[in-house]
Amino acid sequence: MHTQSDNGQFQPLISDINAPLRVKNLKKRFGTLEVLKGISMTAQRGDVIAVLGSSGSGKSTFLRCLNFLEEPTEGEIWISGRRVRKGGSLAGYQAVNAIRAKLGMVFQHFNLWSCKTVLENIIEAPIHVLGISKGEACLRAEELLLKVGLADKRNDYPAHLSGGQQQRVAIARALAMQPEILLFDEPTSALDPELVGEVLKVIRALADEGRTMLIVTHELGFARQVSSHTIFLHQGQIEEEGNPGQLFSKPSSPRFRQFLSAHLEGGCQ
Amino acid sequence: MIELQGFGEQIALGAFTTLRTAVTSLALGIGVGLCGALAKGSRFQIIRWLADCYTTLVRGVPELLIILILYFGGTVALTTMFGRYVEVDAFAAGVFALTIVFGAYATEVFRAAIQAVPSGQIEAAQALGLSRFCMWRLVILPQMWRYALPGLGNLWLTLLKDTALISVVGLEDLMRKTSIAAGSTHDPLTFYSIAASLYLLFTSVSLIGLTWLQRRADRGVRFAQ
Repeated sequence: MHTQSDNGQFQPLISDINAPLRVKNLKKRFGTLEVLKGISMTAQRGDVIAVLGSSGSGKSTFLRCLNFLEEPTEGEIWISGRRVRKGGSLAGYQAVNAIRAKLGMVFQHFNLWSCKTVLENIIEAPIHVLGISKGEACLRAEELLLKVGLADKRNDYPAHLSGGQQQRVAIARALAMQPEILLFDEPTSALDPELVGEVLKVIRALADEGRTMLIVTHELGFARQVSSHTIFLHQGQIEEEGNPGQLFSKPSSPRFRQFLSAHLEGGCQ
Repeated sequence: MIELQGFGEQIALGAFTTLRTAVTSLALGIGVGLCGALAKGSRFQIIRWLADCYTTLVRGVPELLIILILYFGGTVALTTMFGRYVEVDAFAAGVFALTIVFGAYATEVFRAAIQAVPSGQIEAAQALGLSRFCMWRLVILPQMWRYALPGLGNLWLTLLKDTALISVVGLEDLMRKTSIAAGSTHDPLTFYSIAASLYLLFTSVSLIGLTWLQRRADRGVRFAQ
């Protein structure tokens, strides 16, 4: 177990150079408010990283900075060994778009396009970003729908699905881009308790496939079981991180202990 | 049977001109409105400022005055330009004036409609790496259309009736044909009633069309009860 809360600098290992995701000293300020104070981390292929933290700790901002939904103020992001930069130029914009296509994002509120059917939601990006044919995109989409257990809903509109079903479609939509990394931003926080299980089941299956994932979540039990590495953020810094087994049973940081006990008393699994 | 005293054909022609003027102005006005809305959301302050000037000016002056100014101003401008007297075509001047008026109001309708598209819908498009153009075409336009439709419907009804104003610069529309018929037959009540019924017919059919469009646009969206 190690912490690097006050130390943004670190030497990458050789294996880190080509890691799917490497973040170095990432900072984000909104005006004078510093939300992220220098976060460094690496995700190796197949890593499932759970990002925990109380609200306001910066965990969602961290995730959103990775695909430039928020523009980082400082720091470096490397995707598969290539540094991502956002310039003002058109070229810069395309560079960010190319990166976004490699990072599948699943949002707390699903964000399915309400004017499009389930199938259309899934095929638009592969057709227009990856440039594959509509027929092939549909074929892939059907496979993905089968995988998330919603093959019979392909022609429904999102509003006619339950929250859990919508989130599973959103996962299928992200998968359709064949991303190298999946980012989950509190994927079950907006769901009714009885719908959480079906979504977690899909995420768990993805973890078992060996996909590289970053999951911001409040489901501590799930994080403990599924993640290979757990990060606890506090006030924009990594307060504690490590193997979830050790982390949860013997938390060294008093703040993480406090966070755990507050959540476990709250009746979480 | 109502006695049209031979003016039936003239009135039908006038009604056709009215529709032609309104539909042309609608099509052009939607284009102007979209551009105006985009300009109002522009990154560049000067463009936003120009768009603000446009909507403030046009919405603050009576339509009739705008038509008159554009018609007579256009005549003066063209005459100066060509060095001889040029008369502006009433149809062109009318369509131009109505387009400018419709565009100004439509700018505000579209601006509000764009803002009504939930930010999550746009973030999803960004996160998937869609280009700006694809994002507008696939996500923003189809959705803002739904929010814009009620406002646009209102503007269309106003536009349809505002075509009557162009008769003052000599457009041979329904209104002008009717007043000629009313004057020469000394039976104004009959002819003005016919004109009123025709306007009412056009607006009623429009309302049916609008309801259909709205239902189509709302496809897949469940409203909170």
